[in-house]
Amino acid sequence: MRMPSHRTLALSALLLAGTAASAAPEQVHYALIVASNTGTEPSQAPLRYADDDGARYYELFAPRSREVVLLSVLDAETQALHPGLAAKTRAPTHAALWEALARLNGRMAEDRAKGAVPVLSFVFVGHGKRGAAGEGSVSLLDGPLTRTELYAKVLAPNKASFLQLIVDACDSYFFVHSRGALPVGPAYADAVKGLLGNRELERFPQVGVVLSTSSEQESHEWSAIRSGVFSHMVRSALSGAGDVNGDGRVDYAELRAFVAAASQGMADVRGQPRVFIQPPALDRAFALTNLGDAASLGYLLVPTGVAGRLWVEDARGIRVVELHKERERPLVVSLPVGRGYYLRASGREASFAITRASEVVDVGGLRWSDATVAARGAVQDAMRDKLFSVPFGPRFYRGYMASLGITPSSDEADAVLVP
Amino acid sequence: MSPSASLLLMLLRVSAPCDAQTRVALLPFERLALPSEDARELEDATRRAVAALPDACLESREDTVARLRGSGAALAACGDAECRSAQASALGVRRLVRGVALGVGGKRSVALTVTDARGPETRAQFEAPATTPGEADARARQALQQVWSPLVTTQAVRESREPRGSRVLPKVLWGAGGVALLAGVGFGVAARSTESKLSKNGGECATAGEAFADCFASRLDAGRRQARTSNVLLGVGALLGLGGAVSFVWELP
Repeated sequence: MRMPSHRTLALSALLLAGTAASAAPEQVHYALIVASNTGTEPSQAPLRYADDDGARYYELFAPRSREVVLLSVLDAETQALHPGLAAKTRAPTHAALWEALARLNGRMAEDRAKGAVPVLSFVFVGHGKRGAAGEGSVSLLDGPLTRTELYAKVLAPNKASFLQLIVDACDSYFFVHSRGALPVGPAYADAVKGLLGNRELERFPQVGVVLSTSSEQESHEWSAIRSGVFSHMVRSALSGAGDVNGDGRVDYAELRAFVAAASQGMADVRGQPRVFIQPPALDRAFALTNLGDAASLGYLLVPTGVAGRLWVEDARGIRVVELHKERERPLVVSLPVGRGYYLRASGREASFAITRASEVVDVGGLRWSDATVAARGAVQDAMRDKLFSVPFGPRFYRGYMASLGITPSSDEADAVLVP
Repeated sequence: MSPSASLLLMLLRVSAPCDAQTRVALLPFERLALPSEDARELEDATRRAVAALPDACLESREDTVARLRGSGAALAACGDAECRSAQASALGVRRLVRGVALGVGGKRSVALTVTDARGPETRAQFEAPATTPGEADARARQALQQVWSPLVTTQAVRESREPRGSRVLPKVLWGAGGVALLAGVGFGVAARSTESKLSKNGGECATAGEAFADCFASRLDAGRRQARTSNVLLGVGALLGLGGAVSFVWELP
């Protein structure tokens, strides 16, 4: 009998590989963002930037998602910064939420029927509290969204193969604009625990959770970034700054380490963000974002050799991404297309533009000049100095994971160089 | 140029030693959001494009990796062009080519940095669709051509191709002179032979009878022509020999 030649075997292997690759299910992304400045209790002072956070989450998810729903009432400043977005939003009410969920569930059911893997990112930014009976809730415009409703009406009927729950809600949400007297109410950490009982969460292994369990003492809005600090960190990480191993995917462990590094220097600042981040039990290596996916985004390449605290502001003055990079490896962050940007570092800046999808701008080729923008005020100085003061990269990641006793599921931190 | 031709050219160049003026090292690519197989494919395409550049003597990947290991693992991460330029000098190469292979946004691309040990640093990028074979090579060539200034001047190229002291001209002159001298000697011997024959009772003309005078005069003319040709050739040979000596001295390094 004639044995198959090496060429035949190689061809067969290639065909098999191609078949396997083409058989990999496609991920389809959706996002539902609820952002409300308003609290349901008189003690909850209105937030300033929850609507801004909602708008920015919208800009983060829109280029990589099939559909993004934003439930928010944007204030005048936010509407001016995001022209046209208000027309796409609906008020953050229960009715609007159920309607949006029903529509998205319908689309995701169709995706599953076609063999795709629908992924829903459910984001809430606003006030949170714990009721007298110990049940946690977050504030919608027309009343609280309780834990019972979350499980019964959001998680249980959800058709997503994976659901990413991101909650940045705190009843002491201010930092820069502190009102002096601290808000009265239960600790937000308790509210979170009340909102998500761990035992109940175990029934939903497809759900990953990213929660700000910040101190109840102070809040974390920062006027310099017109955003909540925690959400700013999360968006920065998901833009690519959290990709520690260069595989283009930001998983839950990387996000957790990124937030820890970004906030580590704030130990002496009231209200250091504390987080509860848990990957889906079904796939603990599941990525919150994948830079390799096709998307109408541009990319900023920060090469090896460039180190330190860097942030990107767009032409509107919005700080889009912030990071503190270790020197020894390159990094890439995604940015919306069709805008001018400033890359800023301590005392200097460089301008650039992203004009088309998939465009890569190399930081090494930018022309730096002395910075023309200065921060204002002592509190701003404190935030400026403390946030992102610790470099984030493989060294921090390994140490952080070791301190937690966690073995990273995808530790490829040394695999950046092509073997 | 086809990849195979480029590879052949590269192999030929690798077999010849590179000098510090033209030696180029391409460091193993870094990669972001791209499997190592794809990144290696893009690196190889870039390597072929560098090897095809007319004045670049590309070091093999194995040699580069060995030298990097020998110098204590990877190069330190430089933050500016001056530092990277110093690295090129320390490695004994004229240019260092670095690259980051990216797989962002569903596309493959490469960001290149070319660092000259003596000159400025330049950057280039190219996209490389995975679906079109050979496209990466063409894109890499195109990108490099935009930023690759000649390593040496035209004069230097001529000098490197026809190095001073190769002494081609003196050899040619001496060779031609030697041939002329030999021919001159030959004609001289023939003229002497004609003369000696005619001196012995007219040689072949002795039996010519009434045509003796014409025959004798004809042979005499032939002998004279041979003698004249011999003298000219000897003179030319001497001049060529002298020219060869002068050019030899002129081309001394």
